[in-house]
Amino acid sequence: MQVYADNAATTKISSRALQAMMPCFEKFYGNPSSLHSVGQEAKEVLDEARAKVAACLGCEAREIFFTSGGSEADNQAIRSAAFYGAKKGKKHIISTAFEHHAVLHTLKALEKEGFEITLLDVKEGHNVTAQQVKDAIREDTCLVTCMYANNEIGSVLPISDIGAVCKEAGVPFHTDAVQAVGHLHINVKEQNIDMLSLSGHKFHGPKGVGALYVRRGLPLVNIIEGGAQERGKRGGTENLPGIVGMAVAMEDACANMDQNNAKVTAMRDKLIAGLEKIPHCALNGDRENRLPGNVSFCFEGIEGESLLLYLDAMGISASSGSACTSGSLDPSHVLLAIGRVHDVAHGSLRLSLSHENTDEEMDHILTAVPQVVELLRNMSPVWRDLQTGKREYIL
Amino acid sequence: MALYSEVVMDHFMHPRNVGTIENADGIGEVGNAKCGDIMKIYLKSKTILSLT
Ligand SMILES: Cc1ncc(COP(=O)(O)O)c(C=O)c1O
Repeated sequence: MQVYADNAATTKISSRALQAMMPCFEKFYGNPSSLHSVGQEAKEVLDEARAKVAACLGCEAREIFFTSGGSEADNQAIRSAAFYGAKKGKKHIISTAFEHHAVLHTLKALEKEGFEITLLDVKEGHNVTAQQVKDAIREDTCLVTCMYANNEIGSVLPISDIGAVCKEAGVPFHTDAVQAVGHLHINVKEQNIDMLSLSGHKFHGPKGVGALYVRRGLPLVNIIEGGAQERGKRGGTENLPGIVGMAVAMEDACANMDQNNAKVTAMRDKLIAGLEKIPHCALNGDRENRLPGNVSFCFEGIEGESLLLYLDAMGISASSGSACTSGSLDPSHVLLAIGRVHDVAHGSLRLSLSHENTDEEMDHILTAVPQVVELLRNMSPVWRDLQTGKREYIL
Repeated sequence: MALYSEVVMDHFMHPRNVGTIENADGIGEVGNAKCGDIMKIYLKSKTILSLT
């Protein structure tokens, strides 16, 4: 049995999104900036897609800027707030310790340019509170950027509360909603969100396309200089097939959200309940406020990469916060941020589900994971030391 | 997964000489807890050569 349980990394494109893309290659191949009718037809298709994306977020079409994905949207949102903040002498930015690298590395670059960054602690409940944000806001704060939901451990942040705090303080609020769009109900106006990043490939749309919502009136700086596309804020001929595929996937995800989430949440809870029976393990992330499809655990005494390789051999595609192969000896900054020590953080497993998964697949996972964990523990000198009392259990 | 060579994967999926030796003559541990990889090697020899 083949089980794809890595939907937080990326999803399979839906057939409806794929079908919607095809005419953009063959029929609407014009350049939306061209004056002739072939170009103007493409422009109509582009406008339609923009309206769809805006409708899903509860904003105006003109507030949507298409990008190459979530990373670019994050970069542009943060750079823009930083640039216009600095103009007013405000060079303090608030974020969280478990943001995606697209946010964290942009903030690190800004730190080198003289900005002061406050990263909110996420140990308590594997989440942040609006109070933490409120306490961190200063006179010179030019941006609060908090992710909507965490990609590794699934915690869903109190975005409406944070939005209210930022509104009251008059500080622009950006959220990296790459993991939330298409999975959680979002309304940027009601939630007082000033900027929001999203990415097509996390909700069964195509890769390499995303969008940035920016509240009307908030100024942007360009990351990509060029032509007058995207109201002059993002140069480059539009990726029309990608944009149309994303818009259709987003529309479907939002229309079917409740139904999909009911199914996905049930599968998630079944996995969590089953895997928690494995001794010396711990659930990562906020148990209550959690993405419908996220299951994340640390298992003591084993190493995540071995777990992934064995699961792969059993047909299961999963992911881990252990990253030796990616050239880093450190485990994921997210697991460290929630307080998992190195030894334990290395034994992590993330299963991320979509509505395309089935209950039979969950049964397969629930058979495979305990088996593999036991097999690896039996080979592990660390586990032996734990069992013989030479080392103390952490979990 | 083509991350590792066939030989490495074969040993990984079919581990050989794995376990502990009681009353080993020598035990060595190498690894990096930070990276999550630890190897412990047990030696038992018929003749012990003194290396003084
Ligand atoms: C929370 C979060 N932010 C940003 C990104 C980056 O999105 P993209 O791959 O579209 O650049 C991802 C996905 O990889 C993510 O999970």
